[in-house]
Amino acid sequence: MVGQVARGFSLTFTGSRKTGALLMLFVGGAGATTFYLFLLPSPAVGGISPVALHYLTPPLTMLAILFGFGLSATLALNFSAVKRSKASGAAGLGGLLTSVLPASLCCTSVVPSLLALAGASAPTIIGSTGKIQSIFALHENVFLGASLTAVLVAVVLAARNAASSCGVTGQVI
Amino acid sequence: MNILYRFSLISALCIFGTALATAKTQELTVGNRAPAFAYRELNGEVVRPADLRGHPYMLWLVASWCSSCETGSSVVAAHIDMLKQRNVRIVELRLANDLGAQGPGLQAFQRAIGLKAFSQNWYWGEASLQQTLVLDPHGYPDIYYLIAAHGRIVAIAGNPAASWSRIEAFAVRAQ
Repeated sequence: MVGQVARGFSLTFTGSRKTGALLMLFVGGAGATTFYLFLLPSPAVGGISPVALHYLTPPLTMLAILFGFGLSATLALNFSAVKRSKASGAAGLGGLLTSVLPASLCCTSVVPSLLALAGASAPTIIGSTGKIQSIFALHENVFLGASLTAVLVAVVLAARNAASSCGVTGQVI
Repeated sequence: MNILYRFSLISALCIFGTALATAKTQELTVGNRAPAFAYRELNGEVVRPADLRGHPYMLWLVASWCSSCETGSSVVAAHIDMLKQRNVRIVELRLANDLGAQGPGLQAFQRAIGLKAFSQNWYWGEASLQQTLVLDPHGYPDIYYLIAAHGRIVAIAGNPAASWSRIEAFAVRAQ
């Protein structure tokens, strides 16, 4: 499996269409990493804000880089393959969504507002909103771990797809 | 047509629900007089309206599981001496039943902030259900009121770590 993944990377980033793939990897990766640098520490300040950068720790910075470049590598690998990998796309999207959940739902007004939108009364909201929000606050690390796993799975699946896809086209040619 | 009908029905229910929820809520706004509640402190004492009368203070409602509340408390702790010099008091209250969740509790929360959390001008207590309904009808886990010495609310916001400049400006003006 490791060989197949390495081959997928090699074919994508050193092959004939390497310029586009490298551009997607670095430009997309830098953009996504910047987004994650703001997003990951945002639960500390209750929302995405420049102030969140004050609460950026070395582990969060490392995670932001892994998430950012993991997602851009998945995209680049998928675009270089003849046929897109749906499983890889789903894993990448899952990773993206899971990483966004703690920041957006933990300590913001999103959940209480949704409950109000559904017609819940003030006593109902006060008695229940914490049950939902505290999951994201107390288990933030679990969500981040799951995101990282999903992004890594997405990269591996996309690389394997790129490797096998190139193999198929080679046979056809 | 069937989908359009269902979509319209759901939208109408949502709008009705929002209107109903809003109608039930008597919200405090800037300019209102702060409610004259007595707040039960963690140490068993009570902060009475007379204790706060004539003093600018920050009335802050938190959930003990809320990470922005913990960060905000650390920011307040870093500035608590400055607030004390300007005669500003902090009343930090845990929302009733932690908004329905099992949090670590306010005592553990307070200890995690460190020694500054035990400053004389920082009161820690529990909000009753009635107080929570009046002060935080929307159930936000991190909301504060800045109340001037004359007893009127001058600002309502949340997340002190993100809005510290507003609290600092309030403290400077309060002097």
